[in-house]
Amino acid sequence: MAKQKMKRNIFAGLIVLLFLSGCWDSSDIEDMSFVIGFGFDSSENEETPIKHTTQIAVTKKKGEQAGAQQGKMYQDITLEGNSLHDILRSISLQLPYPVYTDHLASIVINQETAERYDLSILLDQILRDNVTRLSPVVVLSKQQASDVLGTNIEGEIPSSYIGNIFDNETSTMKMLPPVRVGDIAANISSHVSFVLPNVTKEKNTILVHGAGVISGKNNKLVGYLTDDEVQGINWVTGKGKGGLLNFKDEKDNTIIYEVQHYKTKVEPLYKDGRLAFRVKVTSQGWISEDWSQSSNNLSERYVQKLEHLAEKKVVKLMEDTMKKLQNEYQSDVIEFHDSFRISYPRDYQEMKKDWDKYFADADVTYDAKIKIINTGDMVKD
Amino acid sequence: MKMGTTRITTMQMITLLSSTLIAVGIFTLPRTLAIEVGTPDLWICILIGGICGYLSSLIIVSLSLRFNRLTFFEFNKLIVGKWVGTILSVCFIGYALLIGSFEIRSMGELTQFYLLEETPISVILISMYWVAMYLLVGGINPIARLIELLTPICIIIFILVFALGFKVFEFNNLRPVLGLGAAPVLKGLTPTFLTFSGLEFLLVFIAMMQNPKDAKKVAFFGLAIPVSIYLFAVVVITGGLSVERMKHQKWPTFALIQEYEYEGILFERFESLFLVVWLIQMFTTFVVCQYVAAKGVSTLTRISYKKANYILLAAVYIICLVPKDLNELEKMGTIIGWTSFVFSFIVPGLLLLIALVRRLKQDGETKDET
Repeated sequence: MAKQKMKRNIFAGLIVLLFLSGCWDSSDIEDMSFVIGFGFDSSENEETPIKHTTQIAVTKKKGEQAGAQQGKMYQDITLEGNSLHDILRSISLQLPYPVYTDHLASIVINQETAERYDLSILLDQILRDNVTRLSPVVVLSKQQASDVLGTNIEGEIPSSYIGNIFDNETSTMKMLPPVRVGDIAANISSHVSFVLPNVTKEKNTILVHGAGVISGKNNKLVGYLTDDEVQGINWVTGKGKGGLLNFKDEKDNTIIYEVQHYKTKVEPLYKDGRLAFRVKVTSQGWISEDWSQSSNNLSERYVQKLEHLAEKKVVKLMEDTMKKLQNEYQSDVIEFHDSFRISYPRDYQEMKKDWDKYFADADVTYDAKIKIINTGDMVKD
Repeated sequence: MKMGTTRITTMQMITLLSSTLIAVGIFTLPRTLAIEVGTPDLWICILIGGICGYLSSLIIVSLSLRFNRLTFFEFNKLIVGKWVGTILSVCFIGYALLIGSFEIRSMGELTQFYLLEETPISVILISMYWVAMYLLVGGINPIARLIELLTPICIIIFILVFALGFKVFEFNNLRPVLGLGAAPVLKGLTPTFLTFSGLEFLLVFIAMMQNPKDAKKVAFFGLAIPVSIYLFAVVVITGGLSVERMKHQKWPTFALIQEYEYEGILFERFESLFLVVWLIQMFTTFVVCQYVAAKGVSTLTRISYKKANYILLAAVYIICLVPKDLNELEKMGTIIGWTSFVFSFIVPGLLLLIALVRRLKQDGETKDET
């Protein structure tokens, strides 16, 4: 009896083994193409308005016939079409390995394309998809996105290069915090204007340069910001992670103030239909470079003078940026709506729809308090 | 404690209740709440919803304690007579089946969407059924033990995964508190209360407790654990995504987890970890529902508990394939929520009232000893 039972168990065990051979959804890692970058351009052809570049990481040595592609760590496929998913599927016509977008690192959108198309349309497939994550960074590009993704950087894949540049936001104020697909989804769904960092292709490198303003009204690119204006934005939002402030003393000597940390507070005031904001910046930092020859940096008075100059410069940066945002682009990309929503929730419900208009007419006052806590390991007299 | 006993300890009961309550709501509640409420006060709804749940569980507890050692299927006859009692029992069984199939179908849909795109949904469902069956035929004891074992791990992972969401957390998204007054919060109470369906199973389980006197404690902790997890989840999701965004995301919980990435610690992404734990929770909820239904059938008829399980399995499979798409599934969820309201509040309330008026009470201690 026992023996028979044993036999039965062994038989059952063998049958179970059959089911262990694999799962329905298994796919071998060497048979997949990992997409790490997307690029959006527009094409002149009306039938196929979108020119889309897919950057795929080369994960294997494909025998000897790699030929011209040798040494490259990625492969770019540029196709035209009228739907993103359609284009992605067309890749299967020329690539034996199915594309897999789980590891997407960055999305590059050409400026002209962003001017012409609603971002919510361009990114619709990515937001709907069940595989693509919400963490890739999104940038605008001055050149064609396909060119930017094709930049030949030694030993680097352009799209992950772009993603990694934003780790540097701690060392410069001229860089916006990275904007991820998820952030864009949030802004689009609440019809809020926002800024996207902009990248430019140089000969053998890609650099972050300025930013583009996306209007909440139609989710299209409406204007550009220079590096200085990006600094202004970082000061107003308080979202930068640190960096430098470059200002001049009265004799035109360059002085560099290194921001150790700073904080911005926006106080809205809404009275009799007049909207006003008060921006208060406080910062602490070091003087890390001072070109003036005759200056005693141990004297209290001198340090105070520097603090005052730095404050003036910060206010100027903010004022210039705001002027452009309010008058030229009429887009609240610095989240003033958030502080207003918190202070005046009921009024905001009504003003939400035309917020950018209210924002453009608002009075903004600035107040900067900068503290220099260290002038470095150097004493001049 | 002997093996194979049909009594469960207080601790087992607490984990059983809490893991029944943590179910598909963790995926669906954030969006439903955001749409209903529209302000960042979602967390207040959950808090108040939890308190309401506790109040209704007190009714259930005092009702069950009046009839020592008797389950809902047995004592309702004593209160309202054989006929009405049987009808109530049948409805209760139907409800348990409905909720079980709802959970298992939602589980299948989400697994298919996020994990196993190519696998037919029936394969996902059936493999889940088989494992559940293996557990179920053993009776309440193995079920309680397994849940006692799994729940602490699940709770820790849930908390971990949501705590990591603080990376994208912005406190401003939670402000202002009650900016538009209390009206939006009231609107959110219904979906919250509906999420806590499963509470009414206490009507059956209190009879099986070793120390029924601890029932109030069970109700409190069994509710406090899921309420705090839901609360924590909703706070982190609101802070991370903003209410506006939650309205537009089908599964905000998952969106939050997809939004952050960590470099340098064991895992970089946490979706799979979260899904695994969540699957375990769905599984336990299903097992508990199925147990209640089978128990009911075996009490009402002469069919044995084991056989009842096999018969009901077919019923569950058919019910769970009734909704044609996700929208219909969601409608099914709402129906379940309202039925739950009936069984966790109205029915026990009325029964308790009748029992009080007729001074019905049964001391089961003597009967139990034999």
